[in-house]
Amino acid sequence: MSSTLCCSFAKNVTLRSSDGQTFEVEEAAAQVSQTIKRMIEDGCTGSVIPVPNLTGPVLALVIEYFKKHSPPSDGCPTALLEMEIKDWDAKFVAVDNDTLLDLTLAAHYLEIQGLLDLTCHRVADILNDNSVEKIREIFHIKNDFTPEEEAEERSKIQWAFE
Amino acid sequence: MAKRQRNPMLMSNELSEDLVTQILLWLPVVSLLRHKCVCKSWYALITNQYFVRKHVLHNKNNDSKKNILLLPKTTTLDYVVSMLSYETLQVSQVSPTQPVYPPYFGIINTINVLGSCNGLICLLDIYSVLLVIWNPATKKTKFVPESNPCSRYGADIDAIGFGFDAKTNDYKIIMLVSFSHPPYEEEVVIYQKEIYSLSADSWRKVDGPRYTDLHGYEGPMTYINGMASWEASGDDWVGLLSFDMSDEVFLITPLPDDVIGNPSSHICKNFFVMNESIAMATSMWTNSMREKWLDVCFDIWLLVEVGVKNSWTKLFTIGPFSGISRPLGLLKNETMLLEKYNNQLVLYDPSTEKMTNIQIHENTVSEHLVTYMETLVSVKGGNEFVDINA
Repeated sequence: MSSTLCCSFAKNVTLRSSDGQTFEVEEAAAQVSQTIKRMIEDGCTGSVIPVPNLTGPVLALVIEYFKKHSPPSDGCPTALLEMEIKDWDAKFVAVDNDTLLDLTLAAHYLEIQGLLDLTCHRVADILNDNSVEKIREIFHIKNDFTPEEEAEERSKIQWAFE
Repeated sequence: MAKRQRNPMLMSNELSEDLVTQILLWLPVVSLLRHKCVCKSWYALITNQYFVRKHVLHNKNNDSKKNILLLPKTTTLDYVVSMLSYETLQVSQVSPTQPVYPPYFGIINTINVLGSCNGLICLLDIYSVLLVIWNPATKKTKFVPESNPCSRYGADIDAIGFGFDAKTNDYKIIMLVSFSHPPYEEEVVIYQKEIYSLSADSWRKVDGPRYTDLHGYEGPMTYINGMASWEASGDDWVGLLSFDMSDEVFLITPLPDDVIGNPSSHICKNFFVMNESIAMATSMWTNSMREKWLDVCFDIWLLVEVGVKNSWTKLFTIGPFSGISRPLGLLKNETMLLEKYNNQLVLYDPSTEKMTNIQIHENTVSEHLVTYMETLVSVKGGNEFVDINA
């Protein structure tokens, strides 16, 4: 069968995280990341591809995503498969806030559009459900408005806070 | 798993502006308005015109953001706007909102919805020729200054449309108006086309086809991608008259011969927007069918290119239905929005042939329908937060 053939000939690459952990993954799967794809195409990778912006645990999660989203070897994905992936995606980003932010940054850095849309949408859902104060806390954002400025701004759109 | 070490480079307070933009694009307008208060950099980002435009494009590509807005035709004080989602087929009420507040609202009795574009809705009070541009999501309203010809005695608005000029990022109103000159004399009627630019906040004249060539306009405007169209006819054609908001030129698209060909039949037609194109529903009643007029089939046509008669394409036929006056739109999974003779709106699922009545606000007799999505687009043309908060 073509898929077995494909697997037996599949080429692997090794990715190394900022803390020195290494992960082996199929080259085709890793190319879900445009950044890694470019590095491979430009031939500027040795035996190991460094991913200095990601820690081991985050890189491990990203590789899980690669594996689920690597292009199918036998052509077009079926509607059923697409639905299964959608469900898997929803579970994949149902994580604590810090992990979610790490994944968002990783998707951005590695240019994984699907994961970036997924994580950004999830972060936006959290933003949507939380107050301004809570958002500052979750995202470690310093409020640089003076109390007067903030009160004035809020009073202009009082209805949006009701 | 042991608590992992966070990489200092990945601290979340270092979310780049680009990444914050990517996240905020997914938010509804009311959240964005609230989140301006998170910090100064978020405020600057959300109020930036570049972000406002990106948010529009992001929503355009997202079916879950697409709605049909149902606006009452009369401005009673309990004016309720309902929203039918393209994706969920559910009706919800827009949070209490009015385009114009008393005393204006009490005075205006009948309100006409000219159109909706990028979250802005253009309303016209037919009797006082009061034009209003309204963003229901930000609750901002702008009164459009009166045009010169409209202030003349006996001036008639023959057609009026609202839309977006993507080339100059401007919103425009096109108005075809006729008046006698000198006043009180019927012999000499002057036909004038005037265009209003939101960014300039003023009217000016534009050229167009000689108005006497047209036999008058019927029905409301249909709007797609920078093009406002009205059903119209001339000495030797019946079809659509369209105005290109960017190039400021008029185009004529005659109807297909099949539709206007048979003189022994009477054709009912109406226009709506389908997949960003103009669609036409036609129903043909031959004399023999007229007795049992309640059972009618509709042919659905799509105009592939405005101005090109041969680009009318017959897509499919639905029916026969009893009591249905016209199709109004195509929603998710081929579901069609239909209107009954008693103005009741129904959803029709062609796969099951099931009809479902749409329940809307009880006081609403009939509505104007426009396609709609929420945006931050300013009713002032420029950057609202900078311009008018002062």
